[in-house]
Amino acid sequence: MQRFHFPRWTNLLVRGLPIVAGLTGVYLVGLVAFGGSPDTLAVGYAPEQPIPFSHRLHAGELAIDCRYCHTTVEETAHAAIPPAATCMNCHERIKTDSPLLRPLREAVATDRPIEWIRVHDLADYAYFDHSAHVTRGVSCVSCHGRVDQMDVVEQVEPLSMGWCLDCHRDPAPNVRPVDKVFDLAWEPREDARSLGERLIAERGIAPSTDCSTCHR
Amino acid sequence: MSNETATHWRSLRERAGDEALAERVSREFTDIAPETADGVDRRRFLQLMGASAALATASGCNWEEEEILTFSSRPQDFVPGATKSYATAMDLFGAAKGLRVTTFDGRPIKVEGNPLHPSSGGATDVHAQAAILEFYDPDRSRAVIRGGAPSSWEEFGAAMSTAFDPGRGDQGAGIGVIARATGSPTDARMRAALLERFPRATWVAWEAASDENHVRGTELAFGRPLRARYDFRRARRVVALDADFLRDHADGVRHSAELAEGRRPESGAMNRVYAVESRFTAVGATADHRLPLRASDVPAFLELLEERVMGDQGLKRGAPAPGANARRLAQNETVRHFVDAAAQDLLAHRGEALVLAGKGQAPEVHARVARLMDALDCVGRTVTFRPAADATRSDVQALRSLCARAAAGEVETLLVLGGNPVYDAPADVDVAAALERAETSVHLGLAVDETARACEWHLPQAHFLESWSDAVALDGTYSVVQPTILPLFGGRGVAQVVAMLLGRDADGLALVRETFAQRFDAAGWNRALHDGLVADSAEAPVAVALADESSYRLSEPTGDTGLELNFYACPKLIDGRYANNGWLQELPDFTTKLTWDNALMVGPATAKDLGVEHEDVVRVTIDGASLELPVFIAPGEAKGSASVALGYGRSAAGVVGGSTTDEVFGVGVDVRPLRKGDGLWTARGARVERTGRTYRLATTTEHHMIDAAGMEAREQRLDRLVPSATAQEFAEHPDFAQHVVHHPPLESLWKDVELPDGHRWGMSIDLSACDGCNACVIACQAENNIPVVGKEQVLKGREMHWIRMDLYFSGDPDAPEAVTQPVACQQCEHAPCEQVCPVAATVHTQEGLNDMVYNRCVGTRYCSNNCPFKVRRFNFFNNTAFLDEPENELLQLAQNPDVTVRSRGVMEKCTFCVQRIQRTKIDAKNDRRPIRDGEIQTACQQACPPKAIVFGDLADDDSQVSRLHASPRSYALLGELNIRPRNQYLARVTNPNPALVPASTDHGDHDHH
Repeated sequence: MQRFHFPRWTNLLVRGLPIVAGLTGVYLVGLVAFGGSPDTLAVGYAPEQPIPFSHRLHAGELAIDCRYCHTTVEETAHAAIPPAATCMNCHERIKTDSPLLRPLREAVATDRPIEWIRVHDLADYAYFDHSAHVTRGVSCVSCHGRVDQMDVVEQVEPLSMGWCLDCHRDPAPNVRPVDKVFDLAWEPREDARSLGERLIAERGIAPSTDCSTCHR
Repeated sequence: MSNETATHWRSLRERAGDEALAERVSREFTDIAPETADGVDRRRFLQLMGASAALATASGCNWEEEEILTFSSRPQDFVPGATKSYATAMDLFGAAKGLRVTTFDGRPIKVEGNPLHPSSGGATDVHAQAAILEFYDPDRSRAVIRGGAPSSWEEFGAAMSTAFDPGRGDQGAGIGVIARATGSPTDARMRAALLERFPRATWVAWEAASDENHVRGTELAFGRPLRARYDFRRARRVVALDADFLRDHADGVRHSAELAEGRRPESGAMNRVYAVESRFTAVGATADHRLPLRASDVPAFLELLEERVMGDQGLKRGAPAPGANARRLAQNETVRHFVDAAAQDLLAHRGEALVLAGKGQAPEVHARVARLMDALDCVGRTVTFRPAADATRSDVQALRSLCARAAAGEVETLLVLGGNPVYDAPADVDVAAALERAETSVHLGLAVDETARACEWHLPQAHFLESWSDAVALDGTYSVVQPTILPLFGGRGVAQVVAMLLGRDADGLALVRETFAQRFDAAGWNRALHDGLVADSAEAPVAVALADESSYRLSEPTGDTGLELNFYACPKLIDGRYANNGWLQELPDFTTKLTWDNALMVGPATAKDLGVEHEDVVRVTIDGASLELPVFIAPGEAKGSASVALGYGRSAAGVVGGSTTDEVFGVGVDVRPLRKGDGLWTARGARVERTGRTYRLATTTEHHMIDAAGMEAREQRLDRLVPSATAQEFAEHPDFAQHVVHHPPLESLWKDVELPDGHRWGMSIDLSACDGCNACVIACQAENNIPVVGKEQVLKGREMHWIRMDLYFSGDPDAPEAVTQPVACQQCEHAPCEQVCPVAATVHTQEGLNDMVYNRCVGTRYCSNNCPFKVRRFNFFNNTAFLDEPENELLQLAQNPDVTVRSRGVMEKCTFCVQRIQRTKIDAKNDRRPIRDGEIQTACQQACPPKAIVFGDLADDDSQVSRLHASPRSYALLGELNIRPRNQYLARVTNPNPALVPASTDHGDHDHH
């Protein structure tokens, strides 16, 4: 019996193997880079909350200022999630028997916390400070988007290090007058960049890109 | 290769050119050792690996759901995630240390000194710093226990109702109390109330490391029990007689701060310290002159000093003729010169001199010292006396007689309210037997310790960070101890327990307010809480009159005059109360740099006489009692003297310090069998025999050494390793420190990077002021979540402390001089570490910090290899994993949330407390104001009692650090490498007595460098 020989043309396939291997490598790296990136994983994250609190209703339609609830945002690192007592300022009288608000009433009655789910979650080794940003004129909307139009809060920006650095290297598009920081619908009358550049020069804003600015 | 000629040395083996050491140092990785089973049981290992480690990092990724739990009603002024600080105080040995405790989200995370308080001036010691770890110790007791079974406070109250029935006819004859010495006025009030209700009850204060001899000495001298308060600001000349007034004194922090003011040559007239001591202490290292002398020869030295000061050559006040021992001592020429010089100096500084005796010296010595101070017109000036309240007075004889009565069945109810006398009472006082015999025995303590195991009842004691109490400083200043959190385990304080026994309201706050109202206007309460003290509440010193001297005649030492054994309170564990504190166990001791052990310390000459070697295990026998101890050959230990620290060998401390029930061996050796009630501090006639075994001691003194090649290069460049000068040399050549190194002109290999205008952070450390107290080391550990690694890892050179407290000896190993130098990251402008990191995990910031980026680090350790200061620390293990175990969760609360927790395979090092820099920068910018000089304090700086460490902005010419860098004393460590450290040292200047110093011209040579 004659031994089987691969036809000569198959040698071409062998020559192609490195290309395939190379492409596989590129594909895998690309898959991990894209699939594992915050853009893919984090943007659009909108977990269900124990109470379907609507920012669109409260911050949008009722136009309650962000700081009515997030009281500490101008003073310290955390923009504190409000205690149940803050909600009860109104809900003692409004919608007092809504079944949706049962967790709220229970929290107040039992002095147990409501278990909110964190939406914007940075790595624990990144130290972000809200006050440092809002007092310089970076609006809530730059990172959190139009929360006043969201029924369910979702993450709209990747909150990745590269994304942070984009702004730290070039803050101009995101700097606005300090009194407009909490006005999420505000649009500059002039070009945002030129306004930002002017404000940066006026106030001597120089965001640092040193590692220890955020990592300690 | 012998380094006998080396001017400075860190260990005796280095000095002698030990071959094994040279071989180890010459290896590339001195710390690499086979990872074999080390025989450490797993639980202990895990505990040690991270007794101080950090919050398990929850992953920051979104796919792991995280909850936000809010208050249902947030307290007023509570800002989530922001720190707050509260003034409080800590009572140790009956004296208050004023503190400020930082809390984060309602839990204490850091202890600082209270700048308003006279005892601290804003600084702290290692014990205050380590209080956080003590507070969150998972081994703290969590419930009332009766006979091993869980019980409750109510059941305890019911069980005590018969013994404390006010209707009983025996007036409490069957009640005995053993308590710690307490300066708390509320505790004292409750004690008085108990003794008033039950006049025949006995209350004994007991401290294993007390100043009992001092108080008894003042009683002999002045007819009433008093306690001295020393004013080192006014003291120009100090003679310390076996007195470690810096570490082994309730007011050590203040002493350190005040002494340092006169140690800086810029202060004008420098003070001068003479130390006569048996073992090498921080006082000896700070002193201008040190005389190693056996503790039992110190009284004789005092007689010689008295003769010269008070006798015919001096004040002509008439001094008794020195005894035989003193006459023998005077034959020694060194001693004679030393006494003469010291006496002349004291006489020349009447009213500005200070003589102190250590707590190990007999009451008669303390009385004679008081008389000497009186003769030198110093009473009321450098030393003042205030009454020593009964509750503050430890009394070993009273303890002995109470225990004897109890053992005879005369004490029905024996309560131990704080303290651990079963472990720390002398060998001839059997507290365990007394507790055994008593019908009811009760222990109140932080943990189920040796005493708790011997008692029927155990009650969890409230830690000072979680209870209401009060305390007074040595000058009488009143402080409120306020809780920073509710008691974690329902513990109660001493006053609360006594109040409960008396059937009173046991609310801690109410008790303290009652005391406050008796002493002060109740309207001042909020002010006192806020400030941490009541201003101007210091007591006036009492006028004293000397009693007849016949009452304090010195007795000649009799009996065996062989080797003496001195016991001393461990500067870290004191009497063992901190044995379960991993931070303190792993802290290198000041002199020996020993961690995780105590040892029999003998000087090189004594070791030779005894025929023992370093790390030999020897059997020490005194009066038939014997004990096996490892030998540590310690420079500066007086000939004929050996020393051993108290506080080790615990059998019921916990999984760190040793616990028989957890099958964890005790750390070190308990010296109790050798310590007798009539020789609490010195035992004479010790016999030492070798057992033929050896024991490895984990000392860090030989870590990060320079190999032979480096040593050679060093000798070519340096006149001496640590630049120092005498005050006279400094006056002639103020810039001596700049001329110690010989090097070619410094040229940079690369172009300098232009840094933008802005902050340039820098630090200055004054070696004239530093006395090596280690407070910075523990403060850094607490602030920066630095893990504890355990003895096995320390032996491999893997300790994690970001600050290394170096001690360089010079001169005769039996009577060396020493200079101490804290070394952390020098934040080089041309940082050698940055140039070799392949992944840019260590990079420079615009403000000149050498950042360490943990998440980039892949653990090549090139940076550490290239660091000339060897200040980088590598995580060989995941030192934090154990925190996830349920029994250790409590320790997670001890971590600083502002600092990243490092994982395995990551390099770390000092960051100049960058989290504090950032916090202040943000706050200042939010307020649109510049940062004030001194507004940012690093953790080490804040803790430093002598204020030797100054941090600030070098871009500001007027900042304190800029002015210090401009000082002629300022020099950069290894400045000849052109690495431009941002940290500079101020060279040490001493103020020796010209009469005792051979003329020397060995200061920097100006002609060739």
